[in-house]
Amino acid sequence: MPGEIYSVLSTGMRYWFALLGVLIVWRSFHWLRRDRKETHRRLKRLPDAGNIGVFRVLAGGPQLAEGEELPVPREGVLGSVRTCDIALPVSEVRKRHLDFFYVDGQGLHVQPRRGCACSVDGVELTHRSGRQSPLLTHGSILQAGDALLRLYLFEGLEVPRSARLMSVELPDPPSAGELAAPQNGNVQTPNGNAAPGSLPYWAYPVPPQGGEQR
Amino acid sequence: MKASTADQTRRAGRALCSAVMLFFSTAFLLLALKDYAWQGFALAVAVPAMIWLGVSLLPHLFPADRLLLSLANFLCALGILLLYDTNPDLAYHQAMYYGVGLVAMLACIYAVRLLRQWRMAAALLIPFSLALLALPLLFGSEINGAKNWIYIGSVSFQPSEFVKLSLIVIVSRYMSRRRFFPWFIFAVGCLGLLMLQKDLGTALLYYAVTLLLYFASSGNWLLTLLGLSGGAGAAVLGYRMFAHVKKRVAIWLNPWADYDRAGYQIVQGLMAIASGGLFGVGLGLGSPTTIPIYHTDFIFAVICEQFGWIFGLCVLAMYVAIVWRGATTAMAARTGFHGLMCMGATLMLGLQTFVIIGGVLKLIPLTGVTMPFVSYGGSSLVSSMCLIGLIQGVASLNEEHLQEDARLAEYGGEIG
Repeated sequence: MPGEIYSVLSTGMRYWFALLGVLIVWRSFHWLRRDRKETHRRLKRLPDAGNIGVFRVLAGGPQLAEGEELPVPREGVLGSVRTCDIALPVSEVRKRHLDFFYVDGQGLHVQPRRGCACSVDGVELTHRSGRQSPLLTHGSILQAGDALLRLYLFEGLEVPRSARLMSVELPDPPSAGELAAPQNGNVQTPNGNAAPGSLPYWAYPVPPQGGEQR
Repeated sequence: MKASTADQTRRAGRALCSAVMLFFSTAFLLLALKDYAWQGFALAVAVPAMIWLGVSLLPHLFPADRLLLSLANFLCALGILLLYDTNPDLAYHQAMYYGVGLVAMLACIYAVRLLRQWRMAAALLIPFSLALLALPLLFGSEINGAKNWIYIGSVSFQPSEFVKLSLIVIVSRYMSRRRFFPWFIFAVGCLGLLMLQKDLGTALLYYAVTLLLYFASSGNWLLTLLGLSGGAGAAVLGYRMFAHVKKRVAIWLNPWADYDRAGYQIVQGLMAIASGGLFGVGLGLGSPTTIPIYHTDFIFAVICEQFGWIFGLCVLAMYVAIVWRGATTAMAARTGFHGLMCMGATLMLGLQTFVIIGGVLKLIPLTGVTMPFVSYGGSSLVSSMCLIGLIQGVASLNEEHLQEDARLAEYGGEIG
């Protein structure tokens, strides 16, 4: 093609390429915005997204009410400051007390930080405990400082075949009537006292007997 | 009836893919009309077809993010287009590297999804990466003042481009487990080797990414600021100790003082950008080859010359979109390791883009890093595709976790 004709054609096509460039950028950002809205919508429908269960407070200090439920994410830090994934504002719990992470088919691993200690089902753990430390599964009790917590895992998660038997018996599950229309939202706790504000849809399972698997 | 989310996503993907395909079919057709070369006509069909295959078909076979694929494919094809205009042989090589990069990207996606023993992988990567990075010092060739290339026959590669990936994996792994020494010693080792090779641009990237990842994992302002000050101090020390650093800073401050020798490259780059104006001089016109090493360091100047400022800003915006996507993916990751890894890959791409474009525009002193996806170079292109692969791998895991959460929610939130 003669140089002059090409020059005119190329000069004219500049606006076309600029237009397409702007269009591509506009569609890309539109896509980003739409995906962000869609993700927010999905997460709104899934309030427990990212969590594997809850820690129910069996005993705590004045700032931690008995029966309070603390969502447990898949991994994070437990400590006394608000920025921790699980905040326990009780005495003897340091700012960042322990790390935890959940492994499918195993359970919740806890790793106390240097100078911190906790206990899992009565077994004391320190920073040096390493990989031999017991795991938390459904019903396990974690003690950190003055706080005593019981772990409740969501149904449908992979749990180990040989789950540890719980040392403290869980209460009988509420009747269908109690589940359908709780009068005051109170549900029995292990020590027999009513826990105010409990969620009506929690189902307390009967603990496994012998080799019974979940 | 309102379209479902999947329909909307498909339509968005099709619209974007169509715009990208249209761009390259018309661009290559225009170049083909210049000298009636059959290769140009073939590329006008092949490049849009490859883009369509990459963006529309690939996500059906592999878990991939269509938006990231679209943008990465656009930038890669833009590099091939500009190289074809000036040196067709380089364009064919780049197209081949793009094929290798696609395979590497898929490998990275699957590595993120399937690999469980990251502890072992990170431990093995440390000595391997340090050895790889030390190779240029022993067997390498000095190019443009830096000894960071290895030649194996006719093939050359830059180990520092691949050790980038190891750095991200190792630092993320050990930071997420709060083990200080392994990642610290590895990072110091890498920086030391890079300083010995005089590859200061890559050293800057490694340092910045490590520091920012440390801040992301710990939230410790004090140590991060100390690290920043340390970096600034090291920069001043480098300026005083190394003559070529002094030269680079002098050229940055006033390239016109020595415009026909030391400052020639940057002056030609600035003149090319200025001559492009808003819409450019036109594809296939102008004189990009007057800029020394235009195909690697100064490819952005060529973009601005040929397509103009507006298009140059659009290219910048595409990098911003990639970084935005990477950052949101990192923040949605369910484990600290995946979040840090994704953030590291995003930071690496973003900082590298900033460093090279900043250098070309004379915002900061010029360094020897390349423009991700666009610049000519197999090592750079493949490592950039690998970084995108890491981000996509984490994105696909996030999606799986959301679906798992939806499945668990079907149990009604009951405790098992």
